[in-house]
Amino acid sequence: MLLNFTISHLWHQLQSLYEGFIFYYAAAIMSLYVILAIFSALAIRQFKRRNSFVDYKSILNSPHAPGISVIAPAYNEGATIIDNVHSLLTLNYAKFEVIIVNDGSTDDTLEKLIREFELVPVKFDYQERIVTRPVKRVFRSTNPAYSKLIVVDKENGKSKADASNAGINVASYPLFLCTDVDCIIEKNTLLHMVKPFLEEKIRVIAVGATIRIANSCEVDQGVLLRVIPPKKLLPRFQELEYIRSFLLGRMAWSQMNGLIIVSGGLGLFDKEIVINAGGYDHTSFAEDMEMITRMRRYMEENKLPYRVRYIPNSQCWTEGPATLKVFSKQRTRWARGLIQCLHVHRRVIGNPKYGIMGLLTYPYMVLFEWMAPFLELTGLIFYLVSGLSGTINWTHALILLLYVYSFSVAITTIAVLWDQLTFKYYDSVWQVMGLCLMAIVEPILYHPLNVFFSIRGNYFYFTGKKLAWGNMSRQGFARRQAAPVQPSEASS
Amino acid sequence: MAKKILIIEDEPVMLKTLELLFRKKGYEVITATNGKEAMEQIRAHAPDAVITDVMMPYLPGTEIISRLRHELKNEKTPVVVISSVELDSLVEEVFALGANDFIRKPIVPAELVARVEKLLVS
Amino acid sequence: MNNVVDVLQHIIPYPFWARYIAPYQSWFEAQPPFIRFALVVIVLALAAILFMYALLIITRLHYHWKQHRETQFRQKAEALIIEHVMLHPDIETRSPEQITLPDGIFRQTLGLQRRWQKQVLIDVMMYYHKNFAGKTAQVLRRLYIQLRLDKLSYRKLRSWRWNRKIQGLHELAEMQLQVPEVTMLELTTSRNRVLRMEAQAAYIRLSKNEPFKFFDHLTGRLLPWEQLFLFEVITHTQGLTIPSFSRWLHYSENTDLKLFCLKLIVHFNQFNAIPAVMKLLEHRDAQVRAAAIDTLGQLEAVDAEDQLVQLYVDQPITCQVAILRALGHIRSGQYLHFLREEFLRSQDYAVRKEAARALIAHGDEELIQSLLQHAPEERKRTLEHCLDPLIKY
Repeated sequence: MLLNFTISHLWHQLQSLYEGFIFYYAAAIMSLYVILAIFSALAIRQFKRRNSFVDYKSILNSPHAPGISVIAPAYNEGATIIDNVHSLLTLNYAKFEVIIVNDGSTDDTLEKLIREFELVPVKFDYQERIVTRPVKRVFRSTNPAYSKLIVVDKENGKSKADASNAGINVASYPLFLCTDVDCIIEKNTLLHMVKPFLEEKIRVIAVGATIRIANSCEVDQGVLLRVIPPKKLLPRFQELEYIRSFLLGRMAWSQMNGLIIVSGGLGLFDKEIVINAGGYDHTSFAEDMEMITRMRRYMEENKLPYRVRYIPNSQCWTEGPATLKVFSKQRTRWARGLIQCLHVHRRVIGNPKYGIMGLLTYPYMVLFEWMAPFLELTGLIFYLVSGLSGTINWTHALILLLYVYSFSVAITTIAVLWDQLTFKYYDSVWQVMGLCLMAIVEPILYHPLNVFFSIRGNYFYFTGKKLAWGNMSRQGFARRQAAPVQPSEASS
Repeated sequence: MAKKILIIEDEPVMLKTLELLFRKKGYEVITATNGKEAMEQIRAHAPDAVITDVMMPYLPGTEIISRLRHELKNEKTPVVVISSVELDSLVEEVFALGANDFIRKPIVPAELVARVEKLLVS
Repeated sequence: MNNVVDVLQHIIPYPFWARYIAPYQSWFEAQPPFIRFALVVIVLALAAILFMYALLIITRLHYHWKQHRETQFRQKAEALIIEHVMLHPDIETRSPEQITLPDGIFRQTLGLQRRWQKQVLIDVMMYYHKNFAGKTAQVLRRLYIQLRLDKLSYRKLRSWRWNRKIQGLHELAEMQLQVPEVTMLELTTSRNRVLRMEAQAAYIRLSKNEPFKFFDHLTGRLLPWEQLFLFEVITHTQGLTIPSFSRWLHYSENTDLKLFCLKLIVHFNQFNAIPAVMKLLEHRDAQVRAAAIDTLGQLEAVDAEDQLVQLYVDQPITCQVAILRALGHIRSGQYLHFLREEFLRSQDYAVRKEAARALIAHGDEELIQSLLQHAPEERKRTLEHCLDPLIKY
């Protein structure tokens, strides 16, 4: 009797303690979101005003604008490579080159490139400033119309990182754009993204831009004809998620100079700093975030002032995973990459030596990005147990649920509508409305999936399930779902 | 019979203006707003002269010239390139590919017409 | 939390409050604080969602309506410009001043009573003025004045909003109209970077006496973006008197301005600036030295060659590379031996490559062949790389 009483008393204590904690945790996330949203809104407004009469042509024309190397690794892209390279060659910019790194494709990617672009091997003196798998040959076109094109043929390195590094070694310009061959890049991307490098007093080391989901867009031979929100459910949720994180999160982090994510799908980098920092890490599952962290550490440790910037324009459209299987792989990998990166750079967390990154970004990543899924899972278990044991206050539970839910719907709605108010990528109001309404079901249908995959990624990380991944590490942002399976992955 | 001129330009206002300018001079004008359309027009209509911009969707102007000269083995049709780009390397590239003239924006309409006419005569 | 309730009570009409909310008030007040807080957040969130939807619909409708109106007007304006300016019957035979302006038909067709109509017409005219030169541009300018569109541009200059000011400056500069020099000079020192840059550009284009006067008291940075922008303006403004830019190499303390002037000196081939540029070889900032070296190379300053080679040993890599590049431009042949030694000796790849390119630029076939035969393997690869005509860099 007494024992029974003590246990139930303890349980009650625990319950209220836990409720209290969850409440404050949620409140902290929410206020952070609100702060980030306000920062972002102000930054975007300022950006729009400052750029409203910029005549980008003046940099386009000038022989003094910095050259840009566009680097796109390709692995078994035979089906689309020709269109995609043609489309990269039509970017609007005066001084640029396109470097396609054939990462040991097993299909006819290289043959197709050689035939279409009249390529011949050249006596390229390859300098391995970042160590990569061996580069076999470097090709250039005999046709002056393709004088901007360089094709690098290298041994498969089982990662996008290794292929990108080879591209960096070959690049001849001071800036490079890292992208994927199947990303559809808006034609003025280079003009927009190079601007932050030129107009800041402090050295800018990387610039990111918004990426969107291309699944339902009208695309012809690599040229984006019309922007349409994804029609299928899964990509639609991703579009929502991208807009929210890019517009609300990254713009604000950029404003505070705390940005650490410049997506692998589209980022413009200062080559010298990247090389000094050691390039992409091919063992990382989140090589984009990891490299920015390392670049920032390099700058901070050498006491060099710097900025990592973000522009709110959507410049790149990419195919998001359309099936649950591919999606699960992608998200598990991301989660794994996050914990890996946090673990590798654990010294940064809370370290004032690393400025905003150490004091704000990394603690934020640990507390809210990494920990959130676990708390949500325990919350679920807690509710289940309380419900089963009949000790739950249903009214309170419901109110707390509604509190989190209504807030998340509101913040998503604000993000999507803010994007539409400022940039107007979609033609019709109905398309926007349709997208916004998804925000209502997102927390119920889509979010639990993300929580599950995050926990799965962490599980894989801590159990050291390593070898099974192989080439999957290239299954990053912009992989087509139809991408053929690599031998190493199939055998695992 | 009126000579046929193909104008390739992705900015509609510019295209319209150039089109009317040459119409008024008594030419038959066909137009294209991107590289893909341009190649279709060249194949279908065999124009007597081509005026092209450089930066365009699908295929840049440089590649249109290259395809015209190499793929279609057309050495005769004069090509005039219009561009606002200042780089010497572009000018060199354009002539290496077989363009006959290069005109920088801003364009002096009378000059453009005169240059095209001269190429059509010779 | 009770304050919130009080405030709400004031905002919401009493009958509504009494009927729908008051019954729950005691329940609300009985809840623990965090539940009350949660309830307030829920209400706020719902309100925010509804507000955003309403805002979306309203702004979108307004936007579409405006868009529709402006597109139609714009098309009409474009058609008029093509027909009555571009294809004006007299444009080839008469001088621009003698051409009868089609202002009547513009007024008649376009109305031009409303401000937005004028603005759209200005935008269209600016577009044509930018893309077409010669008589067409001059006629457009006269028409712009005749239609009194300049009044609108001048008025923008006095606006308190900086982006309006820029718009006005932009329009007046494009159309080559007078703006009081004092106004512009004042804006060239504005704290707002964008405005300052536009004012500097306008000053160069419009100032009658000394278009580069603001160079004299330029303080602070002249960022790469601003340099690109001004470079464009300086090299594209017709009838601009180009001064000798070596003046600011001597007298200005501003590093950015020095770098900018070096670019201009190259662009305008100002050979008489060579002595002033050579003085910069002693500058404490390596970036300035490298730029000065590059300038000397591009001007093919043979007289500078000896000094460049003398300086070589003590310089950082960037300057050494610049010196080698310059020797490749000057090609006097005096320092072939030096280049060859440097090519064979240096451990730095950038230096080795630049030396190879300079050697090749000299066109001494025999020397290259002997290097290809006798140089060590890695040097040979570098040389072959530079010799391959398909590799540009």
